[in-house]
Amino acid sequence: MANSPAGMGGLETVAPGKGSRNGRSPGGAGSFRDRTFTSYISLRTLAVTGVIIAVILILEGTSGGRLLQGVNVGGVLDASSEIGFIAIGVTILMIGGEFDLSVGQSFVASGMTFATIYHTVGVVPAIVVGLATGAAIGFVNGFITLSFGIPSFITTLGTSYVVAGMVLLVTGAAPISAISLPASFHMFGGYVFGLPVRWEVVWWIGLVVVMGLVLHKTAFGNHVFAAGGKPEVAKNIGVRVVRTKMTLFVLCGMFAAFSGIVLFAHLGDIEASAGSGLQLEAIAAAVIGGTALFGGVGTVYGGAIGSLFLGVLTVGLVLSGASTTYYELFVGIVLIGAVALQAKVEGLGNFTKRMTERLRIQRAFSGSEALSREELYGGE
Amino acid sequence: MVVSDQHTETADAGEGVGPTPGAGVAQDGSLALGGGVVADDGVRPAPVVGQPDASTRTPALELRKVSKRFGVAWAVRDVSFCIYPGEAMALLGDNGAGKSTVVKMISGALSPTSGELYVTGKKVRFSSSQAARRAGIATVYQDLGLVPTMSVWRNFFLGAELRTKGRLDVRRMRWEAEESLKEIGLRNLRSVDQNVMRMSGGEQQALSIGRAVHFEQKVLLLDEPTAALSVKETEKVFEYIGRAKARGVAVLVIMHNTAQALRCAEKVVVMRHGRVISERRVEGDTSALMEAVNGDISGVGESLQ
Repeated sequence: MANSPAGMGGLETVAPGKGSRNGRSPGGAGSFRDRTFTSYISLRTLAVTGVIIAVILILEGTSGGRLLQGVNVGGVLDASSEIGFIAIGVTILMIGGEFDLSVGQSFVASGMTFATIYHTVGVVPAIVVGLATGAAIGFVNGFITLSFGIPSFITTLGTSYVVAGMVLLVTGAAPISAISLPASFHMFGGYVFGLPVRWEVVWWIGLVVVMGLVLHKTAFGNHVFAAGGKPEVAKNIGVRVVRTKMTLFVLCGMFAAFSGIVLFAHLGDIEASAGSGLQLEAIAAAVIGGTALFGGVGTVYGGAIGSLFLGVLTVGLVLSGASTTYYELFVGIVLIGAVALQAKVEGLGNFTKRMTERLRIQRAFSGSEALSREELYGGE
Repeated sequence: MVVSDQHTETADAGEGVGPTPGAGVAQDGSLALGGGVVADDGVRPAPVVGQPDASTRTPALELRKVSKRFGVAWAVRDVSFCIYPGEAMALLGDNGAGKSTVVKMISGALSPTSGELYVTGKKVRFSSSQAARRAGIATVYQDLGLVPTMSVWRNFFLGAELRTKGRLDVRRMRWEAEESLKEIGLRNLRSVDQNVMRMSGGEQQALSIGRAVHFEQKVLLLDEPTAALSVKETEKVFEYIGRAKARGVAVLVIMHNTAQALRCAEKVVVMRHGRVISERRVEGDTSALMEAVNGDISGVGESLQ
């Protein structure tokens, strides 16, 4: 009971049954096996996966069995990947304890920069410049936040307006359209070997895996969790918190930029309003996937699953002939449900819950019948 | 940190410094002496008065006439003491006696207004807590040492991760953390993968202490390590401290509770009104010693200061 796995979210979750196996036996050096995948995908993420499967089944019913047809599965993945790129950046930034509300504007600004210059400078240099645009916005966000000590929520709200204004000034609110898409755009918008899946989905999955490894298997990733979990401790121990967070801001801007570039390569046009609301969708995806709002807890895979949920809803509701109002309704319900689940099972927002859990652990390990006042009131 | 070039024997260990009569008891040879305590030539500090065999040993930590002033008020005045490797010293005193100011100066959070700090005989000046950590001083704060949302092994190696080809050597770190924690006396930990948030206060102390020992820190600074613990867990923490001492770490414990201090320390220093008013070896009849120490703390029976 002390090691009840229910609701242990976050990265370091111990797999069910694992605790009791290693137990309190002296256990040799090799008594711990490498962690199973539940260590990386939290149980909360698995619970959300269950919810998504339920939603898929419902929408499969309401759409008359069309949702799980090949073409529509491809459509779901397309929709998921567009928000998914942004969600990668937003998730790692949130794990590091910061927000970015300007990703929608980074998305538009970078996509438009790319759209404006690709036919004069070439596709690859245009991608580089597009990514640099996102990186620059991220850098400004990080610089202002970290050097003035302004909450990133406020900083990025401000920069989102500034960038939106600049985009309107430059474009005059006119959309940018490609007359014909160059063949090289195929690497994002083309279909994979005749399957109903576009290359952008492959890029998305690849980046999720890469960033997952970076977050969980490198020292940098370790520092991200520390910077988000308890920055004072991280700094005290010698982690370069400011540098780590700055890197995250820049990466976040770059992922949003990448999404904007991919969108243009896929659709062939982009307009100033294309990015509106994306920042909240990306945060929703991250939170649904188990990322804590206050930092220190979360997984890239969770953010991807959250994105997948948004993709399923978008396509499923369209196929069901429902109005887009239902999309927002569902997102809202699931978002609140995910956070409520988080508060409930992790006890992070619930002091009483945490204390009882702790007392149970102490009782289990110390074997003491009575608990002293210090145990009840101290040490928290 | 700044290491002084040469520290010659000076007379500043003379009158007025720290130890009161009775403090200069000889080091008894029974103390565990960690390996590698050989003093570098020329940087050995002057022997403290009344330390007959101090010439053969270098204190892991020494404070000399350290003072700290806040505005016009002296929070700490002319505090001197030293701790040898493998030895534990308890710093006692009432609230406001200046203990925490001393701790903050040793851990690098504050810098002294005057006076000097020596770590293994080298004069140091800390500009930050990171500098103090690099110089070999591990401070175990109640709330500032661990990231609660991270696992045991990730906390253990935070900032000093082991890598192979750029990737974390997870297997080795988990193994080493587990071994080090067992060695320090934490045997019933469920898993090194569990979050620190889910550990008891005593287990968290074990993690902090075990980490300091593993990374061969020279001085372990414990600020009220048992304040929030049950009797049983307090015993465990004493065991961890004992094992750290056996590994040659010098331990400085800040405490309120005299009885507990006498159980885990070889030397007890009492502070009042920012000054060291007594320094005693723990030996012989502890009940008499306890009475004397408690008298020092409260100031009862003293004519004036």
